[in-house]
Amino acid sequence: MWQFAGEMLEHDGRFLVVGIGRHRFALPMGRVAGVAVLDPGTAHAAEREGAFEWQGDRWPVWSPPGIDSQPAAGASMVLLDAPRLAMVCDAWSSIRQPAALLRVPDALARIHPCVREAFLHEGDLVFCLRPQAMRA
Amino acid sequence: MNVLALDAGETWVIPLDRVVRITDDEGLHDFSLPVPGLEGLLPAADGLIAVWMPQEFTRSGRVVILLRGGTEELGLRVSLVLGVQKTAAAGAAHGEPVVLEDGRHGRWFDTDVLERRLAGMLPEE
Repeated sequence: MWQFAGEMLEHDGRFLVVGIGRHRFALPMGRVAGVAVLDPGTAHAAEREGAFEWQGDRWPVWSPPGIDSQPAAGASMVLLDAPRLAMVCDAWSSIRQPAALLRVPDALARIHPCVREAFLHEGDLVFCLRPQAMRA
Repeated sequence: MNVLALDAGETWVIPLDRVVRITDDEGLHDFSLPVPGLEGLLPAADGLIAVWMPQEFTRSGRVVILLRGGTEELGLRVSLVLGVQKTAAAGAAHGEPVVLEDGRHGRWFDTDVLERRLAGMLPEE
């Protein structure tokens, strides 16, 4: 079973930080439609099928390119609007927009166009995902 | 010309005027995307610096040499800095043997080659 956690999210000026394996990514909260808390079986089934069904709609499942570490527990599914995508993650939290963003080196930004900036949060490097560059 | 000699499994030399500073790998963040030679990302004042271990290097280490590249700084991870030396080998080709003033031998490291290699390896958006 899963539980929709959208009411827990605030919007303006915040990021949703998701953990996928040992990596951290941030999404602008304004693009987040909600977070579904899943049981591991549902998460893995959605990854296998490449789509997640919610309220009768199919959300294509997306994961950052090159990240081969599967979420340890497959605990949550982040749903994005524009583009309409779902991301499996094993942790998430809502944070205020960080004061300082760090530019990602050009060489990496060219191969990973969904990442241009990052910031430090609680000792971790968090990569800001650009929704407009994410494709299912 | 002045060069920085370093140990990365064997002795390599880099033009000293390309060296910005020498630091360690404290704070180096793993970024395990499939980019050959990428050791991680080092936060700096205005951005992240990509730290590399080029394929020519046979031994890594905890020393990071930050270099002034053509477009942005880059880092090389090496095991030891051997010191500033002089060599008459200005203009040597990448990997070419050079003789240092103390009689030791090293190989010339052309940072432009590394940047061109990275640009060729990474597809355009």
